[in-house]
Amino acid sequence: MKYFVFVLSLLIWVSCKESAPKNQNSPVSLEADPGKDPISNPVMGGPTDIKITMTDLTYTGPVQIVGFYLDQNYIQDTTVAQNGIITYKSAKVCLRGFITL
Amino acid sequence: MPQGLYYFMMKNDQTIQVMVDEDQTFEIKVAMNDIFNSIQVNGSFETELMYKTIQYEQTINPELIQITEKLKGLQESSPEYKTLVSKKLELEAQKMSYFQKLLADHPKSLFANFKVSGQNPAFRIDLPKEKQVHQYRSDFWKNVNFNDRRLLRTPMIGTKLTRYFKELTLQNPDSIVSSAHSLMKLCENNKEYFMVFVNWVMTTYEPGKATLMDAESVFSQMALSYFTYDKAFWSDTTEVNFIRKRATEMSASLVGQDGPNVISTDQFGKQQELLAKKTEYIVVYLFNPDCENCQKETPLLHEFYLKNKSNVDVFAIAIDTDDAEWRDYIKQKKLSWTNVYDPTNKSIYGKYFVDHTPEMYLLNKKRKIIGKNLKTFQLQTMIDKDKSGR
Repeated sequence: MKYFVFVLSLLIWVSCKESAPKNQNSPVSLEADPGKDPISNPVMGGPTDIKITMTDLTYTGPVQIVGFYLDQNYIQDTTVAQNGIITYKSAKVCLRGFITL
Repeated sequence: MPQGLYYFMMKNDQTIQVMVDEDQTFEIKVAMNDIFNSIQVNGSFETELMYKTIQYEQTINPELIQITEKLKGLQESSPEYKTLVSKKLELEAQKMSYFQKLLADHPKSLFANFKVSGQNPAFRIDLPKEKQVHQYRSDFWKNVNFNDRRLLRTPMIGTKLTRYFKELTLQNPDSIVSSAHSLMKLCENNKEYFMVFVNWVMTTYEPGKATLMDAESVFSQMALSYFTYDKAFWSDTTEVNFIRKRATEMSASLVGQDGPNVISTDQFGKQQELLAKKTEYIVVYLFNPDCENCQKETPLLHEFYLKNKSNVDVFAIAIDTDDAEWRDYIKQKKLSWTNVYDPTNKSIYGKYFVDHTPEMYLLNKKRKIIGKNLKTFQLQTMIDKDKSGR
């Protein structure tokens, strides 16, 4: 059983790794088949670790991360700013890997 | 997170834009009172490229804005107008070549693709005026890289789509569908674009919601062209069947088509035939005695009928009711026009599409449908328009 779980985890990790090349100029899966539900199956990136330092603001409070899709926008996530510094971390979500398995 | 453009929005209305690709580990230092000149990006090629390009654009955009403003107050035939147009085209070409170099240097870059794809085509002043808009519309999508799905996660595609349909396309069903066909042809091999564009057109011009007359024409032509078992990969068979059936029902009664004949029985048991009516115009009125809007519209239409019955007849078809309710309604409202009701619905089905009651169609002398989704107050205008167009 432990072996099975290990193999499963390995397969998921490999699958995620293959679909997300790190280098900016490496082939991005722009033309890959997005499947039956392309909106839920975007070209992913990450893991996400963004730090924004506002040198002239000491803002402390919520920050919404707003994304776009076609002519709509949506709240991708929320984070907080502390004394003018926004940090946002998010683990990579590898939808296709899980679906494939 | 999905690759695309994001806004980090704070409660104090301050916003920072970032462009993210697969590498999403980076730092930004910025003075919010002078974002574009102060920003330092470390670790994000895309965001860095975006802000560098904004800085470049700041060297050109003020002059472009100034020219555009000046052009508004000038005669098109004046020498100054022509000089300014040439200058504007030159500046736009300069910007475009800058963006194209970005793309040539970084062909996989999200930002470079975003920037080049977002550029409007040059206005072809070398063409005769009547062809300029047509050419502009034809060229409108030529810079867009439909192979890049990430662009859908920026505001650029949505902005272009809205402009293409709402500003560059005449707001009548045939023009809208023609523009849609041209666009769908460009992205027929790009599944996500194909899917969202088909659905956007069909929901934007949804019958009953769009203000367009005969939105059913857009819906039915789009559905019958693109909601097929092989093309609508995002839908299951049941949904495709349902949408195609609905589109087929709508397609029998579109503006410009011959009005279908209806033969049904009146309250006296006598057979009535729609196309046997002799008046110059016929209103086909589909109503439900119980519906609130019908209660308001029926007396208005009846008054119109009484005033105009020498050249306008009304063929009133009751739907979703029962015999007693229908007869009672006729009596109560003293409806002296032709009333028919078919409890089996066979004589009406697939002829005049009705989504919401009351529905009103207007047929002219040639028995073509010249108007639908009408209200009584619009009838005279439609009749006058038809007469003046002869």
